[in-house]
Amino acid sequence: MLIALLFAPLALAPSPAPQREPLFTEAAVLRERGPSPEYYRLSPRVTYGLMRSQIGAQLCFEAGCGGVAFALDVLTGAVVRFGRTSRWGAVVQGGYSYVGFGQHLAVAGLGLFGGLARSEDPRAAITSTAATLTLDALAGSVHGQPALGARVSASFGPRWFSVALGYQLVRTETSVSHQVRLTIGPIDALGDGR
Amino acid sequence: MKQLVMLTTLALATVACGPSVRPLVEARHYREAVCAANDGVEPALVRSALARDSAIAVHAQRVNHGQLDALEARLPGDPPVSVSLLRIDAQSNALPLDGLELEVSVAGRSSGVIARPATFERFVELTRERLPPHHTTLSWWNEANSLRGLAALATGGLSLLFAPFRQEAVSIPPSAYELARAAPRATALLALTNGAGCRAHVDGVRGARCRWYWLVVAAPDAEVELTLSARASADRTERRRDEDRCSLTVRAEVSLGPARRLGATLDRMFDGRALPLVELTRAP
Repeated sequence: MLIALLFAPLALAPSPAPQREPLFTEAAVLRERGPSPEYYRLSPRVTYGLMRSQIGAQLCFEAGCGGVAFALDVLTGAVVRFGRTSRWGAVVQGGYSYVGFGQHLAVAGLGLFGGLARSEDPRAAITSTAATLTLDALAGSVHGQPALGARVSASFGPRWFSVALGYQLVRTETSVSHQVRLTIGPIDALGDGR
Repeated sequence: MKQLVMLTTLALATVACGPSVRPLVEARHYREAVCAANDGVEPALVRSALARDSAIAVHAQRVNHGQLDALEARLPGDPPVSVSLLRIDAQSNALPLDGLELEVSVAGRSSGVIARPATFERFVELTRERLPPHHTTLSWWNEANSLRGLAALATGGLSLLFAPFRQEAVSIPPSAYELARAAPRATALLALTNGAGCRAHVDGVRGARCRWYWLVVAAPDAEVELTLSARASADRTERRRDEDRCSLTVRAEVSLGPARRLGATLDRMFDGRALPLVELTRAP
């Protein structure tokens, strides 16, 4: 009796009337014709941040300038990829350069970046090879004297340890100095610019 | 200066240009085509090809049941409001995509229509049955105790000297049986909506067969409209975040006429057969 009372509300609920099922034509399965291309599925992003810091040595050829000195560059900027599938891009960079010859120089330049990958694996990206060719304008001081100059530099190697070879010309009021530099350090296009 | 302009134009063209989209849709490379459209390259062309190849068919009918008629009679209004439970079915072809989701919504073309997916709560609102309150009970299983447990593990049990396990009051919703006892009419109406949901197609391609139930409460002369949308999506090759997914939505609206003649209109429109969406949207 108790059980019957408990289930009474459910029993009062009328059973649903059967609804007529609609007629559908059978769904087709459509497949791609040929291998699936990859262009638009690549990220449309073409601009990436650039971080580059390098240390090394700089050689000076003029008498009395010190011979070999420590060199340090801290540069930042951007890489603009030449199209979604391109491994090449344009570089805009700027930053600070110190050389043990008493040089404190602001750096601003343009160049080319090769080796932009499309890898999903960050480890593969960091060990991938990158090459750059840059032309920089220099402005600052050498031993307290105002100085202007230019630098051309090429780098090559894995991202975490690229080797750069450069030449720079620095002019002050009293002298013109020709210098060759060899630096090492990581270079990375941040974000998706692997 | 002229050389600089030419060089800039060439650089921009290199960055901006991509393959033509038409061959992509002709060869059904829909993942590529959806990403192209997502990036603003010929979205109208891709949308039209998707609408054609997905061949979405739809069927809608008013569910007839004595309980619904009883509801109509009980609701206040002069003239009385129209209550309809609509069953809507849709099916698409399976396409080479990473996702194809069908969605439907019912709304009024003007004010005077309240349309919502048919859920137990919506039925209870209409039947005005009173649901039982949540139970409150003391339980050892609570969030604070799980943190105390973690602390005890980390400290080898020492933390229990300062932060012992405690019972806390937890709220337990009424069981299905209690709900059915308290709201038999809403339960009976909910039983009409069995089979709602979507079934996906086979692996490698995406498509679906879906069924929805919508509850429409409307002024008798209010015009009702059905909107069906298909959202096609494709993953980028370097997908790292959800927002890297490309998507494109194809949407179609079908006028269902005044609420009081909804059942008759749908019977005449469909006559038991699902119709291609393209045909329905062309109908006057």
